[in-house]
Amino acid sequence: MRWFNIQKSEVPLVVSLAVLHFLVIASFTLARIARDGLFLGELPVQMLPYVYVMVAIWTGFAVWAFGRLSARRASHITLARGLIWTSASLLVFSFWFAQAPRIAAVIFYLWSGAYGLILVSQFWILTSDRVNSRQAKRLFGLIGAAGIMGGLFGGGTATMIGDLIATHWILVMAAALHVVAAWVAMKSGVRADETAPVLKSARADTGLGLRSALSEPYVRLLAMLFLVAGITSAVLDYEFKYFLQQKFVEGGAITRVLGLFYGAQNVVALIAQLGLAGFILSRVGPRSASMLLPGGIILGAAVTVMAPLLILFRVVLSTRLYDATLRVSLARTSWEFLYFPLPDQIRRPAKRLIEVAVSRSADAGAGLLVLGLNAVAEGTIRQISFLVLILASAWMMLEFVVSRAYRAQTSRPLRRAIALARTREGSLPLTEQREDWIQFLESEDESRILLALEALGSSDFETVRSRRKELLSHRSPRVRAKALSLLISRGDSVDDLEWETLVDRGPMDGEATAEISLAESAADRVAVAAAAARKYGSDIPRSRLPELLEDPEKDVRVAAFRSASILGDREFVPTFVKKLGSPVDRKDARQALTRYGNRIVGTLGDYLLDPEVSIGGRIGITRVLAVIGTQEAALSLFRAGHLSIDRLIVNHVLEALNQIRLKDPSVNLPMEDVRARLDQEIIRYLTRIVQVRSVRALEHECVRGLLVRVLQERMEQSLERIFRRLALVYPTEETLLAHRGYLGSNARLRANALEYLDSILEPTHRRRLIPVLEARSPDDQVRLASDALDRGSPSSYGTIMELLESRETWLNTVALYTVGSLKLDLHLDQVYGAMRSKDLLVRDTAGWALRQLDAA
Amino acid sequence: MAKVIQTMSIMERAVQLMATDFLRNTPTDEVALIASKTTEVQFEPGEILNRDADYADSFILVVDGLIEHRRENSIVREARKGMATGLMALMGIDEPDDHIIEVREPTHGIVLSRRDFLDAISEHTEFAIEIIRSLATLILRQARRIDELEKERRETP
Repeated sequence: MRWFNIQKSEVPLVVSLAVLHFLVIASFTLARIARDGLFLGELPVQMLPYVYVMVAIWTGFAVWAFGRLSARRASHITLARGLIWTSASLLVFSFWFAQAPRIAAVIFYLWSGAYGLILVSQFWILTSDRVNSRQAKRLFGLIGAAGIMGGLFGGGTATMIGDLIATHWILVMAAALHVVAAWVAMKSGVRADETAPVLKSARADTGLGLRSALSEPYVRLLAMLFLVAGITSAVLDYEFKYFLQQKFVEGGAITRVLGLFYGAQNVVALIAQLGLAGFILSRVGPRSASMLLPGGIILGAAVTVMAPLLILFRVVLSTRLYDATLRVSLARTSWEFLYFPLPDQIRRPAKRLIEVAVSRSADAGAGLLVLGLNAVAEGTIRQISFLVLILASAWMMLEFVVSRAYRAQTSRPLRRAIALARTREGSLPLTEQREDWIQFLESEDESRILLALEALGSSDFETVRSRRKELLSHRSPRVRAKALSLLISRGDSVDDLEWETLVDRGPMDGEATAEISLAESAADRVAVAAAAARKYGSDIPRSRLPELLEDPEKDVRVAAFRSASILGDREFVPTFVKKLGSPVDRKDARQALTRYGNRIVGTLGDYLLDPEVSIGGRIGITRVLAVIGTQEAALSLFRAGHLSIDRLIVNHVLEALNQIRLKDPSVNLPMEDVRARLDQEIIRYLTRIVQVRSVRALEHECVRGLLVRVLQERMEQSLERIFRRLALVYPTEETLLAHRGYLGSNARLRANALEYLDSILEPTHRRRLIPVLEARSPDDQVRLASDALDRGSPSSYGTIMELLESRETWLNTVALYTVGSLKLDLHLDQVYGAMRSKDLLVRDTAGWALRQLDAA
Repeated sequence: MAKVIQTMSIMERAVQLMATDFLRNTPTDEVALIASKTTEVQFEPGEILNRDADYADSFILVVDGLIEHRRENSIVREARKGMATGLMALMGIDEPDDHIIEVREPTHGIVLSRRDFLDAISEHTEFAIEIIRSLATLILRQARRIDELEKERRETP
């Protein structure tokens, strides 16, 4: 099965689906041959156009009715029941043909026109329920090939036994195949949740589903695509048959050519499906593969329009053969991918509608177009070719539009799943908490009031504001301070506040406020801090801001932070940056710095690069810049996003850049650098994969465990950064969702994530990343990573050397520890070099390693 | 009396800490940062750790030796080589008065004080998240154990 790229665990499923497809197509081919034979044997061919119209109307009704009957059933049950019911109907028709062949011929034409396509469509619904979009790329080629073989088998059988038995007996054979197919359907990869008679989770797959499907712009677009594709093919078929009639007068010659044509079509389709479909789908993706069909028809039609008469027939024949071959092989398989991003309740009715009703409508549409062409012009071969050229061009344009819509659509399952997870997380009922907090405000206990103010300040500030007067005149200075601080922080004008209630000594103006000494209560100091932001009055409060910024009471500091940032004095910026490192003040310091806005983003960028600033401070800066969110803020962040910066800082820088791009996708980054860093990150990720494998060979258990853990950790961190960097190049939100989907435990969601990435990534990124991300085993992943890096697997000692020379100090440290533990004196130079490191941990470990080497 | 010693490098301490349940999922470089805040202490038998002002609120990883948790004269837990004690103390949760944590054998420990722990939590969000995860896992494990015991009790005639 390696040749077919099938995993061992997938074999039973693939075999059962392939057998099922074979049976469904074989029986449908038998029934179709019997249908044509019986109809043409009993009725004049002139009746066929009327029957076509009736079929188009009837299939619309049949799709709706089938949707209602199969509502909320698992797809395998729906298919099995459909097969059994149609099997019974075939037996009835077989009997009916013997009694009243003319009526039976018309009714059976209608019946088979609908049920055949519905069963084929239902088979593909079942198949897409069983495999995800990533598996489909590998497996659909083989499953599709089984269908083509089913067609060959049906056609061959009918030819062989056609002269031996009456035609209506072929229906009995088809009925028998239906029964076998129903049994296979019930055995094909049924999941535990599908064994219930009715699926509780699924929404009604009925008329409502059909309406919901049609309300989706994506489904309408697909319907349009298939309609135009169907019309093009039907007109091309008409052109081919028209040419046949023109070229060959004798009926026998036409039959011979048609026989050769259909024979060649099946053989070529089988080769294309078995040999090319899987390869092309994996290499270029389903959307590009899908464009090969209209592309070839455009070329064929263009040549037909201009070609000399001598080779005209060959060109028309080749174009028709190309269309007929690809339509049942590569294109058929590629089109199946278009339905994967749709939710089940829409996918099922949409698929039936498009594959049955739309394709029948396409035949009718093609007939009308040809009639119209004949009416307004002569309907010559070149005119028909020109019509095909126009139709195929429209089809190609639609393919491009659909490709764009497909990319957007593939992110929707991720969005839905993540939204669902968020809904499940839930939250505490805020209203109940609010009542409790309001009751706390009435309490005699100062600490309870302070707690309530803290909570209501962030969740229900209007309640605080409505009690402003009583809170500002509260007997507790701490309550007054907190209330005042909250009101100020929410932008309530200081001048409007009831100053007289703040202190016991009576009314205050600016000067009086300024004179309050630090020995006064916290409420008084909050008032001073708040007064500093006033545009008029005394300068004394402003001069006291530096000391108030360091006040032991948080409320005073908060008020001072606010005033300082409103004044916009840059002299306070270093203080705020320092405060970002303090767990107690970091939130207010962030708010203060954010208030400065774009004026200080350059300065903040410098601090971000400064190793002397604490990690907490630098992380805080990334958050401030993310909130400021301007073009300049993004560029300041980007300066610190290169690989040699501390990984924690880089992670936060990338997170901040993603936030900015989410809010404003028009923010530009130097894309050449973004791509260069992304490429470096991918190389780093692939290198870690290879390194993890190499260190597993070490015998020293403790060292091996440490190295594997550290490198795996680095690998995961690198992958996260890859996604964050991808989100700077490709659609931000969708790429981040793909990251979540990829890391989750839901296999289908993971496949969706990969499918989305596959559809958006540029070839260079896709080639390097996608195979490694969907590797089937760790061995496979290492092999693919080595291939992508174009290097062999290093030895464990080679990896230790690489780690010693790494730009990451933590990896240097771990390598030094390894050198000491394993007493690897070959690396003595590196150990001596590390003794001069600025990093304490590196120096300490190098010293330890030297002692170990000396001891040895 | 407990004595501060220095026999291990920061990295050696980090490797010891990485192996504990408590820090098993914390990024290794962050464990190393925490290790740099720890001290090595040699405890002598008979020392009651949860009544010692210096170590009552500390997390202690046993490098070698034995520390015993007793309640009403029965041993409820033994911390040997590679095991830790004082997680609750680190979180600021006091043990009941009748709970005794006593050094039974000469013990070499790596000690992380509550203050350094809180500093690490406030400075390193990833570390804080992993601590919450570890505690949640601990609670889950205990809850499952209680369920099992209750089930056993119900099934016992």
